[in-house]
Amino acid sequence: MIAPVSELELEHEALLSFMYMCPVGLIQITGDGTITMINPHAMSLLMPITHNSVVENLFDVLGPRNPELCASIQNFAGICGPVLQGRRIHLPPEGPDQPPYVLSCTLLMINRNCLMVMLRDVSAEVALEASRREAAKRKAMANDRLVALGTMAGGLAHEINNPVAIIHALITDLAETAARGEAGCRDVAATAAEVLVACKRIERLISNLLRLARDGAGDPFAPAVLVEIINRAASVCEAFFRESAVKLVVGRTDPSIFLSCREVQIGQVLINLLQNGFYAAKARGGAARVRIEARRNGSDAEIRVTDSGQGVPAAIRERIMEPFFTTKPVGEGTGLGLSIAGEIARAHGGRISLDDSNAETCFVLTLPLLSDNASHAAR
Amino acid sequence: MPLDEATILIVDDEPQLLTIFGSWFKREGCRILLAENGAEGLKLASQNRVDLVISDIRMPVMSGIELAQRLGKHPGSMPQMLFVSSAGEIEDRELYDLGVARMLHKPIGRQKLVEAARLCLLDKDKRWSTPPNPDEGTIRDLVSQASEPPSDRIAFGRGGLCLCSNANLQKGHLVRVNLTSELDAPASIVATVQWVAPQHWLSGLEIRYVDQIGRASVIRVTDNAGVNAFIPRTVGPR
Repeated sequence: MIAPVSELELEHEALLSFMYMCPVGLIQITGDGTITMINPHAMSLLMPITHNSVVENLFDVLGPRNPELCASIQNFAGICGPVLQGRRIHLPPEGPDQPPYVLSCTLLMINRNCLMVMLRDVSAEVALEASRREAAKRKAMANDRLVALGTMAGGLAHEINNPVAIIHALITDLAETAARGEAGCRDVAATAAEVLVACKRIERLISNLLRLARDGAGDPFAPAVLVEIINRAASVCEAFFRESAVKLVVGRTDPSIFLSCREVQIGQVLINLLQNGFYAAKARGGAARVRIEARRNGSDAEIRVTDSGQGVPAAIRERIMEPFFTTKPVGEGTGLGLSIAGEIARAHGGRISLDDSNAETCFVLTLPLLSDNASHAAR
Repeated sequence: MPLDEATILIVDDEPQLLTIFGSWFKREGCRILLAENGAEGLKLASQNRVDLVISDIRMPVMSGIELAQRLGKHPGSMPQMLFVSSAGEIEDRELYDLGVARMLHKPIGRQKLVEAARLCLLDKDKRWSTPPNPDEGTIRDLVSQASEPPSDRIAFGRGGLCLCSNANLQKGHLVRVNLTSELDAPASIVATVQWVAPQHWLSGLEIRYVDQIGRASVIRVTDNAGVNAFIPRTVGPR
C-alpha cells in the first residue's frame, strides 16, 4: 500500500523540480552558510571556484572574496524578503587572458533559518559595460584632441596660406617675365629655389598636423624621440601663439631622450598644456610667454610647461584635474583637457603635476624613459 | 591719384611676401613703406602721408582689423585701405564698415593687386564717371520697384551707401538709385550690391557711377560722411 502523500511533501517536491529546472543558480543555505540544497545551474556557476569538489558551506566558496556578503547573511534580522540584491562578486578569471568572472548574487530570506541565494553569471554584461566605458573615454579623448586642433586651425590655415601666396606670387612673376622673353636661367633657378623653400614649409606644417590629427588611441606603444614630439606640438601651436603675441619658447631638449609611447596622445597632452599656458599668459598680459622644455630625471623624462600667467589660485588647485573643470570662457576648451591629459599620462605610467616650487605656473608631465638598451635599439 | 605719385603702406607678417608686394609697386613708381604688423604700420602712417594701405588681417602685436579701427579714428584723414588675406576670416560687411575699400584673397597675382590699388587711388570724379560694362549684368532700377527711399532709410559711407529696401537684392547685382531730396542736386547712382542683410532689409551698395549732374554732390556727401565706413552697416543714427 502506498502511503498517502501529504500536501507539504508535494510542495517540497514541486520546489525541488523548480530548482532543478531553473536557469538561475539557486542555493538554499542556513544562517551559517551551510548548503541545504543546490541546483545544477548553481553548481556549474561555482565550478570555476570549486573545481568539482564537494562544497558544504557557501561562505567557504564566496565568503573569502566577499566578506560583506557573509556579514549581511549572518546579521540578517530574520525578516522575510530580500536581504541583498544583485551584489556583484568578482572572481578570478579562469586564465590569464580570460575576461573577469563576475557573479551577481541576490539573497532572499525564506524563513528564520533558511535563505535562498540566486546566482547569475554577469561576466558578459560587465565586459560590455567596461567596453562601453572605454569607448566613451576614447571618444572624449578624440573629441578633446579635435577641439585642441580646431582651436589651432585658423592660425594653421593662415600659416599654410602664406607660403602658398609666396609660391603664387613668385610663379606669376616668373611667367610674366617669361612672356616678355626676359626670363633667364638665373631667374628660373632663383625662383625655383625660393618656391622649394616655401613648399618645404607647407610640407612640414601639414605633416605635423596630420601626425597629431589622426586617432592614435589604439596605436601600440612605440619608441619615440621626445624632442621631435615637442617640436611637432610647438609647430602646430606657433601661429596661434604668434597672432596673440604670446611668445612660445621651446627650450633645448636632449635629443637622446626616448619614450615608449603613443606619440599622438603625448602630442595631444603637450598641445593641451601649451594651450592652457597660452590662455593663462594672455589673460595676464604684459610680456606673455609660455616655455616648454624637457629633461631627464632619474628613470623619468620631465616635460615642463611654464607660463607667465597669474598662477593657479590655491582654491582651485585641487580641482584642476577634474573633468569639466575650466576657468576658460565658454567656447574655449571643453574643460576636459587636463583630466584627459592626466588620464593619458597615467596610461603611459606617468602623471601630470603642478610644480609648487616654481614662482611661475609650471605643469610637469612625467613619463618613464625608454630603457637605455631599448632606446639604443630604436636608434 | 596716379599710382606713381602714391605712397603705399604694405603690412604683412610674412617678410618674403612683403618684399614681393613691395617690388611690384616699386615697379609702378610708387613710394613704398613696409611694416610687419599693425603697430609698425600705424607708426609709419602717423609719420608719413599714406595714400593707400594694403594689409593682412592676422598678424602678431596688432591685427589688420585693429589697424583699420585705429586709422579710422579720425574721420576724413583715413587713407584708402585694401585687405589681402586668407578667405573666410571676416565678413565683408564688417570690413566695409571699418572703412576698407576692398578685400582680396591670398594667393594673389601682381596684375590683380596692382589693378585693385590703381582703382582705389583713382579720384572719385574719374572712378565714378564711367558706367559699368554692360556685360557685368543688367542694372535694376530700384525706384521702379520701391517708392523713393526716404532719407532715414539711407546712409552714406566713403565709397558707398547702406540702403533699407524691400527689393530682393543679391550680392553682385547692379542697381540704379535715383536720389532727389538727400542731395544738393538730384543724382542717379549705379552701384554694385556688396552685401545683403535680408533680415533687416539692408543692403550695402558700392558706388560705381554717378551721372554728371549729381556727381559733385555725391562726392561731397561721401567725403563728409562723418563715418569712416566705406559702406556703413546701418542706416540708423550712429
